[in-house]
Amino acid sequence: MEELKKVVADAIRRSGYATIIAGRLYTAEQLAKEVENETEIGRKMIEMAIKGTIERYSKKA
Amino acid sequence: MGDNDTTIVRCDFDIATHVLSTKMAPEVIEYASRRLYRVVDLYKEKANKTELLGNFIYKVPLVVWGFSHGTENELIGPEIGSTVFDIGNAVWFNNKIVVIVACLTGRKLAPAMIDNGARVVFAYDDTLDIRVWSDTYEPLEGFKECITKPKLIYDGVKAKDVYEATIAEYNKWIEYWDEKDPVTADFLRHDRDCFKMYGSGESKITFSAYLLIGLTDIFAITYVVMWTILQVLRLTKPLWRKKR
Repeated sequence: MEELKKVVADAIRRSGYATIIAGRLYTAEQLAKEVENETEIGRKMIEMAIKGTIERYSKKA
Repeated sequence: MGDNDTTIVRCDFDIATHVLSTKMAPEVIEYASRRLYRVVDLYKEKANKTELLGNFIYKVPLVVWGFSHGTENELIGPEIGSTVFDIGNAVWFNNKIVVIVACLTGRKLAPAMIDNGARVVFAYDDTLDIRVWSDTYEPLEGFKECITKPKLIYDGVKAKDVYEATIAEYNKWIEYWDEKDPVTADFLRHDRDCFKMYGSGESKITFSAYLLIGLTDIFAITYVVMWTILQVLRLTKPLWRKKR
C-alpha cells in the first residue's frame, strides 16, 4: 500500500494541475498529501488511478 | 412561451461555482442563443427559488440547466443554507428536460424529478471533478467540452443520443489525456462514469416548434425591413419629382 500511495502521489505532483473535487480546489501538492495521508479523497485518488490503469492496459491489450 | 424558452441557473459564490458559472455555462447560453432560444439567465443573486418560480410561471421553459454545488437531495443556492433545486420543489420540473452540473445530484434529486414528471434529467451521481490551470482556473482541455455536451438537446436530438454523444466526447478526451497526462484522464474517466441519464431517452425538443418560431422571427424581421424601405420611398418620392 505504501508503494502504491507513493506512485499515485508522485504522479499527481508531476501532473501539476489544480483540481476541483467535491467543490473544493486542491493544488497538486495538497492532493498528493491527501494520498500520502490516506484521507477519503486520497483513497479515492488511488481507486481512480487503479481503475484508469486497468482501462488503459485493457485498451492496449 | 414553451419550447423556445430555456433557463440557465448559475451560482457564483466560490471558486468551484465561479468556474462552473463563468467558464462552462456561457458556452451553453451562447449555443442556445445562436439557435434562437430565448435564454433566461439566473446568475449570482438571481439564482434562487423565487426567481426560478417566477420564471417557470411566466416563461414555461422546456430545458433547464443548473450549475452549482450539489448534494444527493439539492442544488445549493448562493445564500447560506439555501437551495435552488431540491426534492421539495422537484414537482416544478414536471414535463421539463433538466441538466444538473453539480456533484451527487444523480443519487436522489434526479430520480425525484423523474418521479414528479420531468421528461429526462442528466446528472452526476458522484462528485464532479474538474482539473483547472492553477493561475487562471481555466478548465483543462476536454472538461468544458464534455460537461456542456448535453447542449445538443437544443438541436432536437433525442435524450438517449445526447447521452451517448456525451459519453463519446468523454472517451475522446480520455484518449487524448491518456497520452499526455494519465492523472487528468483518470479524472475524466471518473466524471464519465458518474454522468447518468434518468427518465425517457426518447425525450427531445420538438423540432417543428423550434423551426416555426425561428421562421416567425425571420418573417417579422423581413416585414419590418420591407416596411422601412416602403416608408423611405414614400418620404423621398416628392424629392424625385422636384429633380425632374
